[in-house]
Amino acid sequence: MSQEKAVVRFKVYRYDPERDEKPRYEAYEVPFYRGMKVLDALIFIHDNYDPTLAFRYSCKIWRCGSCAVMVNGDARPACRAEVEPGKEYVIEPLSNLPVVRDLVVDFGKLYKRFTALGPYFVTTKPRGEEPARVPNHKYEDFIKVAGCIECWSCLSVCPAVKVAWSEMAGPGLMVAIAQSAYNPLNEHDVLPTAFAQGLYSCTTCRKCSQVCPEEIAIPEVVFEKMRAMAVSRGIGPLPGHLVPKDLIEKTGRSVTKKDVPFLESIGTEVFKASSNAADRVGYFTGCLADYRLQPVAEATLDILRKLGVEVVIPKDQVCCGSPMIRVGALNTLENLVKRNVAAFERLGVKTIVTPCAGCSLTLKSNYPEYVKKFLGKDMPFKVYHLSEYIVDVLKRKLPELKEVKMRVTWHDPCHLGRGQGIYKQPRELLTSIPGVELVEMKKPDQCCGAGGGVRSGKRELSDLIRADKVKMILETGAKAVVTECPFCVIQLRDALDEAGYKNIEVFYLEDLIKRAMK
Amino acid sequence: MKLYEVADDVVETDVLVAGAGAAGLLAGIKADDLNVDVAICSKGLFRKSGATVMSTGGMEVAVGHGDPTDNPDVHFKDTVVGGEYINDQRLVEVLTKEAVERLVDLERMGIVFERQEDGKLFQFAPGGAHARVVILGDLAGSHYMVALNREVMKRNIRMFEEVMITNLLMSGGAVSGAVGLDIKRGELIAFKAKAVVLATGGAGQIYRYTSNPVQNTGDGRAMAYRVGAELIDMEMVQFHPTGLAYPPERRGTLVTEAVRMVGAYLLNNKGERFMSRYDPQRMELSKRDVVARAICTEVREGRGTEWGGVYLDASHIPEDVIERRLGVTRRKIMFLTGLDLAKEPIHVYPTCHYFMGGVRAEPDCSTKVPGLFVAGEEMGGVHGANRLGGNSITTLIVFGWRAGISAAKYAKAANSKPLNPRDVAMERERIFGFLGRRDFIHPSKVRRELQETMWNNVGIVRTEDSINGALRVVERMKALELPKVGVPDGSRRYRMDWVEAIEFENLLTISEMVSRAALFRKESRGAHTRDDYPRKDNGNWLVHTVVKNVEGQMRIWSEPVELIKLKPPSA
Repeated sequence: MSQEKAVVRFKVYRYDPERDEKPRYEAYEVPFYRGMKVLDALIFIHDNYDPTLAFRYSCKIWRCGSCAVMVNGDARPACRAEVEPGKEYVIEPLSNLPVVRDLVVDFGKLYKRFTALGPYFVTTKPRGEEPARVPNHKYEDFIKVAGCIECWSCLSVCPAVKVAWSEMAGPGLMVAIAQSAYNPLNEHDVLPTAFAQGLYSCTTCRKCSQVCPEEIAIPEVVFEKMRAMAVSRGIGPLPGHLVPKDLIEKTGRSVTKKDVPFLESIGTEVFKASSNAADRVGYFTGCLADYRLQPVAEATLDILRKLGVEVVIPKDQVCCGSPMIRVGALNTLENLVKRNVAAFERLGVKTIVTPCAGCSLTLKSNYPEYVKKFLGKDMPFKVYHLSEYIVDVLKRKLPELKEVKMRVTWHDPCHLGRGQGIYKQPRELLTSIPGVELVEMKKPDQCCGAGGGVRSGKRELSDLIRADKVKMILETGAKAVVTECPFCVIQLRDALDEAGYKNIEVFYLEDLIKRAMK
Repeated sequence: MKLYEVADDVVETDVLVAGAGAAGLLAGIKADDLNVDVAICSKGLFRKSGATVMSTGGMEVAVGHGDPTDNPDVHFKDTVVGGEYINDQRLVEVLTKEAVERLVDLERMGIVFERQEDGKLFQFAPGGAHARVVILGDLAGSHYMVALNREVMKRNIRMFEEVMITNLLMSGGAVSGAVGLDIKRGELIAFKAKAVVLATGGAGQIYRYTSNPVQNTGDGRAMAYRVGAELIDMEMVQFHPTGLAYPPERRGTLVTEAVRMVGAYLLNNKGERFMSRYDPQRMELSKRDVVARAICTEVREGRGTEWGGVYLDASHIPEDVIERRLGVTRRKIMFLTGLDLAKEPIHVYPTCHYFMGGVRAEPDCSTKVPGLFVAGEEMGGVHGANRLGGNSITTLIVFGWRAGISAAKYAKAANSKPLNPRDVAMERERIFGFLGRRDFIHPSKVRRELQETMWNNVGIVRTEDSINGALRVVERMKALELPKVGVPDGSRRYRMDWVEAIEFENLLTISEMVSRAALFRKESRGAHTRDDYPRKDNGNWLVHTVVKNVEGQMRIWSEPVELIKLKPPSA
């Protein structure tokens, strides 16, 4: 077997704060076997090369959560991190915590934080003779968060914790609060603590759930769920969220009207294809492309038409509801869901396409539940993000593209990348433009800080998060950053402007495509 | 000589708890309830150290929600019959009665039990006829640890994380404290305590293949032995029938009994449900020792799989049932083996799982050593020759609770005894002696040889010859290798190799106890299978084996089991 001779290379962080001036990385080669995990390699190194290498482990099957480390920059339990032969892995201690030695971090700070949060169980009821009678469905929310093994991987990758731990207790600690909040027998009211400790500091970027070994959907089942509880009790949302909320309730749009909205500018609702239509889709504009980024909407319509698709644009469509779902203001939702479904059904739409990362995610992942709840039926539309639709469904190349000579970098919107698993499709479209040179930044999928109501509710935190992103963009030497989400576009534009880089352009992908199609 | 000259830190408390699994935490919580000062030491991280957190099954408690015909008496009978009648029936009586009471208390600490829609508890049938195990999906242990840890934090009980208790301290024939190594700092702490609760769990690390976590090196049993406590039935080591056999590097990793509980088959390489030959009635859900032996026999007689195990096949069970009942397990198996439990069979072989034998204790958890209490798996005699699935968490809860109360009461009545700095100095010398020893032997090397020896010679099936073989290795290691075990000097912060060196003597002591007790019991009973004495012999061996350190010598004798409530059919 050729595999027997295969090796895996590791660069392991070594540091003894008591004796070493600064950390160093030591290289090791470890013989590979099928099914090998990072933890096996660390044990091998300890047993065969250097018994003083310090790392933690206990159960080896990610029940205990002791062995989390950074593997090539992402946190996870070492027993849960697979390795491939011939590759190199950089192993570092969890970030955001002081190092005791090598890969062992000191959790003291974390425990202090934990005690301050006090996610405890309290009951004042007299002790009965039998367990309380509680129907099982009351534990549904609890079960979703009970599996946390407290490996604290999430805490090491959270962009908010990284810049302002004081502002945001962090995903793992919020899971602990949620466990308290969702236990139907707990009388301890943890919501005010949750609110004070960062309930509204989560951008819903989903980096935490990406690294979670138990695959807990932390932004949804912890933050959004507890935000909804907070709103229903008048604790949330934040003042900054009330503006879009009022607007949505009054106008159906989350922003105010400035220029002529896209939907008011189009004469007809149905744009027939010139010859035999390749397909027929409904275009869901979302608030920003309708009210603020009209060129994006025009570009989207143009692109779809040039691809031979019949495009249907109901003028009575409204906000998808995403800004309200993220902050927990769910009472606006019934109206929005009903109006959108009616609008697209009125024109016989079966497939909805949108270039908005937020709208496509909401329509895909939230609407099925809400359509069922409010209309008592299954979601009647298939939903695609525009890039996904062109690359995976139509399987067509963009027509007649002229050269646009430009060095660009790509920013993955959280709700597109981690939200929908769409990474390669927009890159494929982007690089199909002649002359465009794509230079990837260090972490293209790191959050820009705009989402989850953080930009509208906690501007300072949002600014802190985006600073790292600006650094990464500058490192690439790109003349422009391209992305696919209105919030990201606005956030990155502001960030670059305020950092003094007005010369670096920010494009919505469709803008750039349209420029190439002219 | 002053205490602070030989210890880097001195901690004074009323009740010191060594071990922070469910038993240790509950002991701490209950002692705290009685308003004494408590310190809990955990060799690993809080919430994470030890075996409790790994449990995916649940807790046996005869509350009768799942089966109205069930009650503590039935639970008692199942436990004693399952234990082949060498359980200490006083302990079983406590276990089964108080489990029902503890259920309410656990819920009042935030532990969640799955319900039925009418609000009663959902209970699962673990091999027996009675639906008795309360569960929360397959999260059991992890969830208990979360809740109990929160309770400890809420009460502000002092926790010493990554502090390994290395030896007990005695004054005037009673326990007066203990010495611990603060692993993060590489410093020695002298604990002055009126009472000590040992709850360090099992000793699976004496075997090459075990489901136990890395901390389970028998520290508590070895320390208790060194200060003259009695240990009983140390030959009774449970081999869980289903550890992974493939891939070889994962051999020993536990596959929960719940897989068979939801209806998976055990098949040999001919595709036969071979349990029909060993226990046609209960089949795959027969007692753990029976199933483990059956798998061992199938493999020995050439009917095993290419990976030296048998098949565990759940592919006939609806996928949604597997997902609901075994979600964590399915993902775990998929990740470790690349096989999907819902779609294809996996390879399994028994793995060392639990020590039924342990420190001899009264129902109040006290031992023969004044001031020394034990809880959880540390305690011998509860499960006799075989433990039922789901009874381990019950043991942790019931006896953790009791140990805390007993230790606190003892501490309240006891006078504080001074620590002798000389004892601490001796222990310091022992512990620091491992550092920078010349021509040292690395602990992981000898440890592996010991584990292989114990697995091959005193494992699932034993003979006089095989056990004597193991004892020869143990004696050789005591004489030649143990004095040489050491680690390089240098920084003392977080030295895993140092901890391993300290653990090695404990592993040797436990291996010797298990071997000598296994050699002593000349019959086959429960988990103890002697090829040279294949029959159960109630006439001669309805006894406890007792091991004790008598002036440095390991003495072993037997004492009849007191059958206070239930007698075997023939006796």
